[in-house]
Amino acid sequence: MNRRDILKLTGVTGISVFLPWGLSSQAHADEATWGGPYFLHMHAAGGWDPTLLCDGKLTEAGASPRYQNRLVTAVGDVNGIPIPTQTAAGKYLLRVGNNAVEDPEHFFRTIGSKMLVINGVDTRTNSHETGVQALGGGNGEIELPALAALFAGMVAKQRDVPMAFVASGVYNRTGDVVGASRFPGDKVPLLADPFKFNANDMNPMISPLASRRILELRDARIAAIQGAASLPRNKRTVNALRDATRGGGAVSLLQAVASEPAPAIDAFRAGLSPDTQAYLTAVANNTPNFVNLGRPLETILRCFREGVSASATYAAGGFDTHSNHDTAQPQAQANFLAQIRYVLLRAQQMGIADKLYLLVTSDFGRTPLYNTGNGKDHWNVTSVMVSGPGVRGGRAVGKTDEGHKVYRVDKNDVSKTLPDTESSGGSRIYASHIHRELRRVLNLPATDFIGQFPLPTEDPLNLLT
Amino acid sequence: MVGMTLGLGLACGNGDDSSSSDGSCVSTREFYTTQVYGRALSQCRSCHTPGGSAIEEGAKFIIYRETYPDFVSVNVAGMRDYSKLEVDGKPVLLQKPLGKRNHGGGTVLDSQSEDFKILSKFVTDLRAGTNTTCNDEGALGVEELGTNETIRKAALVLAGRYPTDEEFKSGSTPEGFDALVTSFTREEPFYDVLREAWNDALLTDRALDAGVGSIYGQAPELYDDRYPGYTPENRSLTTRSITEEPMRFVEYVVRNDRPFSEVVSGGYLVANPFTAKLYGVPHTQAMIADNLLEWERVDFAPAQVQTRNGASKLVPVPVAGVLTTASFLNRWETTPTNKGRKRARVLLKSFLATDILKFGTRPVDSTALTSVQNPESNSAECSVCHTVVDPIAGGFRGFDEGRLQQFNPDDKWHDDMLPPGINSVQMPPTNYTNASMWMGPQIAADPRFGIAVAQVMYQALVGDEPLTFPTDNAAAGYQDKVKAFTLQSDWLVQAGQDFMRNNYDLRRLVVNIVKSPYFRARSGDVDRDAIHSGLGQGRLLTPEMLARKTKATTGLYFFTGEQIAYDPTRKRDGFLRNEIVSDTNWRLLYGGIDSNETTKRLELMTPVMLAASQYFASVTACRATSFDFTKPAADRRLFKQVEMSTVPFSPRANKTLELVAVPGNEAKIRENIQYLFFRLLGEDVATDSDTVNQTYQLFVDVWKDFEQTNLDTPRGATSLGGGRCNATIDYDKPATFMNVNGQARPVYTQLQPRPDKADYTPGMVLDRDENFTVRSWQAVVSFMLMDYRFTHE
Repeated sequence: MNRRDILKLTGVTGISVFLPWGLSSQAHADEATWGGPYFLHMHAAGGWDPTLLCDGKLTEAGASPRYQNRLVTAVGDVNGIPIPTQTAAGKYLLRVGNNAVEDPEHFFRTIGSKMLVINGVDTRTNSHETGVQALGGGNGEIELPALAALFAGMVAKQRDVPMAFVASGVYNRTGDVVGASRFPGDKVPLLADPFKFNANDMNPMISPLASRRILELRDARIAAIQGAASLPRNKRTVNALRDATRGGGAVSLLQAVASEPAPAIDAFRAGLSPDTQAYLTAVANNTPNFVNLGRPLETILRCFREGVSASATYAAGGFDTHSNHDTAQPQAQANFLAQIRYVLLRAQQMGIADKLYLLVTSDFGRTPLYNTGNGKDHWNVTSVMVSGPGVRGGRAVGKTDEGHKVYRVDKNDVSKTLPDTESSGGSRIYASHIHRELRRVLNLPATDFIGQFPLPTEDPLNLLT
Repeated sequence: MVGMTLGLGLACGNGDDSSSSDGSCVSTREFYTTQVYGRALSQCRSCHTPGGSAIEEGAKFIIYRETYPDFVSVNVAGMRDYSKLEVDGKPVLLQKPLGKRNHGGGTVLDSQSEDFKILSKFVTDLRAGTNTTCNDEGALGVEELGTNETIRKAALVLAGRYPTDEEFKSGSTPEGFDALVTSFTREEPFYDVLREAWNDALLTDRALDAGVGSIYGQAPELYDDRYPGYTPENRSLTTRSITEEPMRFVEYVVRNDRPFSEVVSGGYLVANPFTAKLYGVPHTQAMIADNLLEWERVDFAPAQVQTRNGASKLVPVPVAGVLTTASFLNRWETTPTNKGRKRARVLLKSFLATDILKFGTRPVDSTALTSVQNPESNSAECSVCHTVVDPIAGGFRGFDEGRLQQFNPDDKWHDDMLPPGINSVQMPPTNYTNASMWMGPQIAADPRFGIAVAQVMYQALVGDEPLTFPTDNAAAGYQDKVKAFTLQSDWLVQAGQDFMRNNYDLRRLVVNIVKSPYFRARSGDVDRDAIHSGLGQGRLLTPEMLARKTKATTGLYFFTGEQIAYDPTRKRDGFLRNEIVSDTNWRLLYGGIDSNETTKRLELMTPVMLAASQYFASVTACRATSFDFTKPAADRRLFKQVEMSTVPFSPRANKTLELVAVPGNEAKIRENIQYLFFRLLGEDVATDSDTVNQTYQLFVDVWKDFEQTNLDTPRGATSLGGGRCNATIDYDKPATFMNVNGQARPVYTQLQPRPDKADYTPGMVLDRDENFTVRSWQAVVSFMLMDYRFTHE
């Protein structure tokens, strides 16, 4: 009997079915495994350079260019998104060493064609921590919960989701609306039945009656302690424990996540750029490079598919390219874009693509000019990518000028850009605007906790639709 | 409760109490934080902060942000001075915000606004010399743990053990309490606590390969298999040693009662035989695995450092506590453009209580900087951080940007950065060749050092990061939040000062933390979360703490494998190990860190962690219950009031008979449950309380089930957990090791065989449960080990 069947039985008969991790009497009778939507926030940690990806630029003409690009020699247009297309040596590809790993133009023409690119986002900071916080929670000044946590918190209040929020990213503040989980790897069989010493043992360490009575007593204790808790730390930790007992009923679902073999590379081949197939399909340590790059995301996607998780954060590093920018930045972007590609392709294979929200961010951008170490430093202007149900993708909103400074957008029509002056009447695009929109499409305003976490009061911008 | 030497009541300065309109006392400091800083000056802060545009343009009025430790004292003192400056009989401080006296920021406040009225009142009070203080004792409004409960918690958290009856008695007086807690800090597990605390801050426990020692050219056989004498084991032990070096330095300083300032200023190495060999310095002990823990002070001896061109020469390498260890230098690398700033950031956070990353929380617009040359120094947008960071980064001058621990005194520093120094004091050029040895003592002398150490130890022992200043002044409970922040901040300042005044005595600091409400608050007003911010019991234990608590209370660690490995770093605790800690997968899923990719501990239980805690509890109860019953009652940890024969009812000959209670046994069982509640969960419960009633019922239900099953089963039902819970080994006797084919194999002290049908006597193998009590107690212990109050403290 799988868990769906167990819950169905519970719902029909009203009985309290004993599970080794908890008592289903806590679950709602009409519960079913969470089937989406899902939210994944992928973050390029360190501050990426969007001018090498989705806000392409060439060195500005003149004796004192405000922006320099020693790598890109041509920028193309894909659905209005400025994409670097050429270098002096040929087609612009993102490389790791000599290996072509990603092809931005191919990405935005194919699997990434539904992405909404938001250029000219003003993070209002050049501090890593503030930028991470702004893009993760929507406000660089006040530590709001991560959007992924808020969404998971909403789901966890409706369903038994054992790892509602998988925290693999750099900004995982929860605001106590949900716990942050880590994937348990090889321990899954032991967690699925924690009263057995070994998953293969015939008998548990204590009797079924003892297990049942222990859990009943434990839940009664939690309720009593919760009722008596008067100080904030007690309240938040006992509340989290109570919530954990709710989600514990589905820990065995992790078995499906852990035991499934890695997907075959052939399933991805058609989705890769011809220019990158040689490297991405090559096998190293018995695993094709593309599958290996996607490994951490594969776990997250499986957790989504199995109803184990509702949201996740993920971060990849290597973007803080204060030196050797033209080598190190494309290298970090190559792996990261390949991982985004993996997510989108694999979500299609799993049948969850139409339920998956994807938010792609970085701390901030990189300076328009090179420093003395051929690097680029911190710059508050960056780009953000979003996709998901209700998000009108395949376009870019927002824009930057030849010096990678922001234009404003018309508050009533964000497709129109305006000069970056107060008199233009336009608005800069801030992280809070994007988060306000995402909160809206994720239905977070309907939750009873969202009022605790207000975003700054800028006028809303209709960015997503 | 025992008296406090560092109570909240001492936090304010001298002066008279003053009452606000609602009768409560509002001190000058509180008025400043809640009304002036948090409200009236909220628009002034970004420009008037050091490095801000107003200061860059020469403004004299400085507002230190909340990221500066004890910013309240500094700011109030600054405002008191500045308030005396007047023109035309009016304080300049009240003219500038109205846009007068050439205020660079124009008009910021309206003269009729509430904010201006607040500022006016404050300035007027300052000019009148008012310094209102309040007795803040009890200001948090919480009830605290009693003496015995505090002793129990302190023993578990600090010494990883349960206190003795004598200690409960000796700790009942203030002097005795201090001495007792101090004694806990002299026990071996405290040094684990200490290293964990500082690794959480510095994150150096990330494997650093022995090969980094190649720059010294002293002992290539420790890392290079081309050299005679190379062994993988020695390489592994050297790798561990050089990785652990900074934390062992911290341990050395405390273990030997050295001033804790030496952690950053100590002009000596702390080496074990392996690192000593690697660095080419002398050591008193032989370089063998058994001496891995023999860390000793090695006074300065120049190491052989290869220069970049491959030639060798003797170069005196500066040593400044942990700051110059290879592990620290590699964990926090420098690059040609980072220029030591990452190291400076960590140093500021962990040793100067200054989170430079939070300096950037105000909105900045670097798009305005394009035309600024060297913006880190010349633009207020950047200099707000860089004026603080860059001079301290200069303390690491000379350390290489490629081979990070290699030192070259002739290296040029970066001309585009501010000169090395700290707090506007420039480093004398004569110290450029040993910059870190100048910087280390400067840091230790800075008042922020004491606050920083207090913060690190506070977080380790209390569990939360210190409160941050509330930024949302429109949020509910804002004033209470500010007050909570101020009280805690003041307490940390005092604790830091006390620590520094007393020769940087870390043990004294620990005692003060244990006695504070932040360690002991038990309950408060359920509707006043804001004032109670950061208070309460129920901290989720880290994997390491849970491991120690399990051992302290049950005598055993959680482990699943039968074989233990020879780990020379665990020789002082009998080679016992806990898989919650030693198994990386368990540790990380239970919220721990690896100091590399996972650097923040989880603070709240998740479903997966809950399942893990159930598994830990089940396995530990399975082993610990039966093992405890192999001992005489006086030696037991868990079952002092009962025997295995203490059954609630007489077992029946057949199931048609009624169960008959055994007189007196219920009382004994209840007394033991009562004892377990205090030992395992820290709860004082009466034997007739609901809590004990419910637990007794669990015991009885399980007992009846086995008694019935035994009658229903032709061959009986006396097996202990399918054999998994048999007690066959005396875990209180440490394993010894014998060499088998070059491998160290553990040898355990086995319990005596129990002949068939023989009555049980202590010391025998326990492999059957004829009275059904062992499994009934196992259920009770399992329940308690997965209880909220066991997994949280």
